[in-house]
Amino acid sequence: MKERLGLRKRFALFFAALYLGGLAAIIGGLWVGYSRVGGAPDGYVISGVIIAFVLLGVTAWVAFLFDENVAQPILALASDLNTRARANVDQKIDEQPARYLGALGPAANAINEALMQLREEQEHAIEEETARIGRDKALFETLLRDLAEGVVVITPDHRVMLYNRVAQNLLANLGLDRPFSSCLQADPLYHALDRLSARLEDDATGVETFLASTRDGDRFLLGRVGAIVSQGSTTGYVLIFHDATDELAAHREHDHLFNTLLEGTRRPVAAISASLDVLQTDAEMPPEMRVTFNASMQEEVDRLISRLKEIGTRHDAAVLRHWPMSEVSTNDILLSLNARNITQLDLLGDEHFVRCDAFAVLEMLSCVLKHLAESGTRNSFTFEAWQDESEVRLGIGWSGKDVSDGQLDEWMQQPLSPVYGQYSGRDALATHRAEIWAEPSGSGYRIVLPLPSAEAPELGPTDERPEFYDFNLPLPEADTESDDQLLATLPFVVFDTETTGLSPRGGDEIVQIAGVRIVNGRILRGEVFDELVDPKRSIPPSSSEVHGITEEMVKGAGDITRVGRAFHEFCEGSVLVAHNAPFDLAFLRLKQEEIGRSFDHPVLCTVLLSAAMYGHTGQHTLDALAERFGVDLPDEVRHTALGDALATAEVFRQLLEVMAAAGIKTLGDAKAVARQMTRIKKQQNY
Amino acid sequence: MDQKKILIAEDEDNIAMALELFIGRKGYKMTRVADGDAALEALAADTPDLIVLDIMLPNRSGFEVCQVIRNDAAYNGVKILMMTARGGKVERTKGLALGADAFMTKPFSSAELLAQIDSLLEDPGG
Repeated sequence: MKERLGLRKRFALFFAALYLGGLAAIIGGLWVGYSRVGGAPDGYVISGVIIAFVLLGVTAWVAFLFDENVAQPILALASDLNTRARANVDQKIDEQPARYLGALGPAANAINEALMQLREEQEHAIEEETARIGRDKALFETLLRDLAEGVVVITPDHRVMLYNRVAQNLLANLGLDRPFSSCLQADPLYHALDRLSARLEDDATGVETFLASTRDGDRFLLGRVGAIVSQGSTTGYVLIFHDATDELAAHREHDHLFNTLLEGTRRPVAAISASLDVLQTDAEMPPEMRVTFNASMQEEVDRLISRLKEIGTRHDAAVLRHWPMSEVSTNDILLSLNARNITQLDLLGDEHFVRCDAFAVLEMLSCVLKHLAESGTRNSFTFEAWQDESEVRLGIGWSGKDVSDGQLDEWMQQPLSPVYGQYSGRDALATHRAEIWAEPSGSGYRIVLPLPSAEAPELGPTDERPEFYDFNLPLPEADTESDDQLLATLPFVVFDTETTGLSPRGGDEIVQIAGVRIVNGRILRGEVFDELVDPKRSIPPSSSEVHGITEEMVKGAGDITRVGRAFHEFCEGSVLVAHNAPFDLAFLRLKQEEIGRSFDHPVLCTVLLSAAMYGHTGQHTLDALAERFGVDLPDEVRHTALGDALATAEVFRQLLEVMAAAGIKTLGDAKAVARQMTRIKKQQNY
Repeated sequence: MDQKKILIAEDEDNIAMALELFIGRKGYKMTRVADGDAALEALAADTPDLIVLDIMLPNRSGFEVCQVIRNDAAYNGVKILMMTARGGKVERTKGLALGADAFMTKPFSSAELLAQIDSLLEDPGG
């Protein structure tokens, strides 16, 4: 077993060996000399001793220099090289100590530089690639999320893996890891999936269409579903759908109107025809009979007239929904008109929104404006939009010569644009159930075009990228006892309530419930529950000061039954989490009869968990926990149910990590720890 | 009492016939024309107190006749009763915007028409 000695020790031993060897040689030599020549040994001893010491000094000095300039630099160089091999050190190796090692220093630095460069290039390449992937991902996310149709991707066992905004707006109860069947009446979809599977077995690809209604039966969704096949097995399904309710309704209405019209006219006309026939052919009819027949004809005519009026009204109201219309800003119309450079057009009045085919309206107004302006007899053109009951009227005004209705009509008879073929201004007016005319206005005249008023289009939520997909949903653990489930994969609802006061049994009521889902370890900011509740009692001003909810605000809010049920649905299959959960739960449980649902979900309390992790003395208020975990809680949202729920969710997520590190990994573990804390608290209270 | 003069501008003969009959029976002095240009000529020749004006007229639409009447100060006292067989709400809006005093959608009963005419002619305001 050869022990490895350090480099310097070895060199030292070398020099020691050199010295001892030399010394031995010299002593040997002296001894030989002494034994040959004889004489006094003193001389030999003295020279021996002098040589010994001088040699020692010289050897030691040389050894020292060697150590300084060779051994240590070698070790230092080795160390530097090692360091740079393991970590990314930006500096050059110090060549100064190694200056006596010849080319070794520069060579080491050359390698170092090459290594640094390589590392830099690698980092750069990774950065670029990551950025590129990030851009692609962002693009696809935006595309999917903001598509005009609803998109949902489900797992083979029909749980939601991805959904976009439109889907979220169309379907109730949509959320990651939730069963898709809870969002709509899914039988037609299942039939489509069956047909799809049959096709896949025959190795045919393609999509199946389906028409399903939403859970409340109010809207019909027309969609297509296709399978995602990877390595021979189906890993999910993609559904793309849109709201077809209005189209279907429009078709039905048209058919119905047509049928009613036919039915409604056929019979009276037949009756009138019969009566007239009789009256004409029978010249000798007695007067009373003549009166009877006349009366019966009058009756049929009245019937016809009222039927016509009725159908006329319904026809007027049946907007042509298959024509592409949208909410358009009147300011945008003006901008587009001005962009055509027909004539200077000044804006008067405010912005309004109208529902129309923007292109057709623009073409109509351009056409009119062009003809008006090119006559040379008109100037000072203005554009204004104003509200008139349920309509917004667009007006183009001018000073100068008027325009006759016949002239306007002539212009409107022309086709609007090559893009629209023969579709004329008259056709466009009919499509919009509108008219156009010229009337006196101020010191001149104006053209007026009334259009249906519309709401300004709603801007979508300002969430940057709310989590709307998770392709790694945990597999449902069918047979595990709930307590053995891992905390990391369980779905949670972190919630908070605001109430009129602190005593559930003393008559205080809930005024707000908010919750947010955590699925697969992520807080889903796009899936929140946030509702005010009408407590059916007064809200004391002192409590309004805390949570900012006044009696005004809860007027018209749902009562605890409706909101409680909706919240219960939101919490389906999840573990409930709250800060100081017993308080919130006391309220909910007390109201269970009224709500008609029981909140018997497993519950975790962040106060108890925090106490378990950080000692049961000290601060465990939400503010304190937020500070400890670096959760930012702006003042405006503190003490709103949603703000507190989100903060608690952040805190809880971090607590989970701390707990996992401490070995608390399953629901059972967490419950045990919480029970322990409760016992300690109870003991403390005595 | 001055006999009120009524001008009927209606191109459909069957309807015109009926109108002339029951309006005439009420004691009004009646003239009938069948197109827009003729209506304007009749207006100039002998200004009526009220014009029963159908929208769909040949040569010049009822809307245009209405425009001309309202643009001309000489016709300030003439009441305009517009009629149409087109059932849309917007025709009514346009008619009233152009200055018609009343608007009726066909078919209507003679009683309704006469009641409307009476009320327009009694009303002293413009």
